[in-house]
Amino acid sequence: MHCGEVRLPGLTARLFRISFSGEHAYELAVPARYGEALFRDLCARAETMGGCAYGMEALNVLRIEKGFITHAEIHGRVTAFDIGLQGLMAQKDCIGRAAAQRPGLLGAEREQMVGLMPVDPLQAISAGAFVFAQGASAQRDNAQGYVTSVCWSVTLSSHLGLGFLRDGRARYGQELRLVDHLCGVDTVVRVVDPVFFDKEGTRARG
Amino acid sequence: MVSLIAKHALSGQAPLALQDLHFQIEDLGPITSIAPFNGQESALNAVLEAGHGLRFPVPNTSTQQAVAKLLWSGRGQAFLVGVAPDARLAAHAAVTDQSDGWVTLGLEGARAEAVLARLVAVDLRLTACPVGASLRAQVQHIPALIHRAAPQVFHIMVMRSFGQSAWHEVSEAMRGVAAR
Repeated sequence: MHCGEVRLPGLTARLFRISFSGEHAYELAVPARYGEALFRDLCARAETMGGCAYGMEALNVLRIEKGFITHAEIHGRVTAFDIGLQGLMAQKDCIGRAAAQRPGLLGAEREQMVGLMPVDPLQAISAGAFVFAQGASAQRDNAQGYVTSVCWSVTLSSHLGLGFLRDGRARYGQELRLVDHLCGVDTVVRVVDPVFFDKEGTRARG
Repeated sequence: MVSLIAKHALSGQAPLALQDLHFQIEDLGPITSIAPFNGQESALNAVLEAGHGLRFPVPNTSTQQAVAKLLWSGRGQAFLVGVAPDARLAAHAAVTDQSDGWVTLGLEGARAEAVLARLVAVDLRLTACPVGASLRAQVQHIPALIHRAAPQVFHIMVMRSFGQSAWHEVSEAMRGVAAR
């Protein structure tokens, strides 16, 4: 998360060590007039080295594998506790800290972010599906959580989902019923840590 | 990487001349926004005077010293154009390079006011908008900074990503006026 000024031939740029994908990554900011030339140059270099530009869909898969949140998860009804970032507020006071510790915003009653893996890895799951105890009927008042993001992970050869589940962090390993009435999905998923891949973060830290 | 090729937002756009109306891309040089910190207005003015021979403009106006201009650009903010900012300004104001964030279009001609009257809901006649005026208004729906550089010359500054749209709007209005 460091940044600083760097020199490129003929100009000054800003380099940010920042990763949205979980991979070793940088952001490079140049005056807008040089943007197109820089993009073309970086693409040519990446292709020469066997890489390429990648798009939003690939980025979405990478960040789900890594358990990184995006707008799908932080949709306005979740707290730092829910997404597992309560540690950021543990040491120091900050704006919103007192509010975040009010009754009802912490603890087992909260729907907490979890990873969901279908027991059959080839079974697609869908964002928007709800999660129920196995054997429970798939109706509103039995819902224990919901799915926010899904992808097919080439790395793990499985469909993956991120979602929120009541007391989810205490329930890793449990198998639950996932139902999406709209898409006709009714399957069994296993609750896992939302960081599916590279839990130690060694790739981003290069 | 030998060097990066610089490319203007309106790269390849030729000037447009219709009768007495002329429309072209302007290069104002560096553009730097200057927003004084609370209570620092006097100290900032002292540095502006010493470094650039300029004073911070009151709303809807600008100040000028040779090629350096300070264009009022919003509440508590002005754009220094034409010169690089004196480093001492940063002690008294938020100083931000905006050079590549803006596209400046120059419209010149006796009927420039008539062209802009079709696009801008502000009275831009010389009596209401004297030379040196610098104001925020929309060109159609595009937020712009409009500066009257001379009796028959307007500089229309829009954010870079709106450059093509602003060129289109103004050139269409020019054609309308020229056809009358």
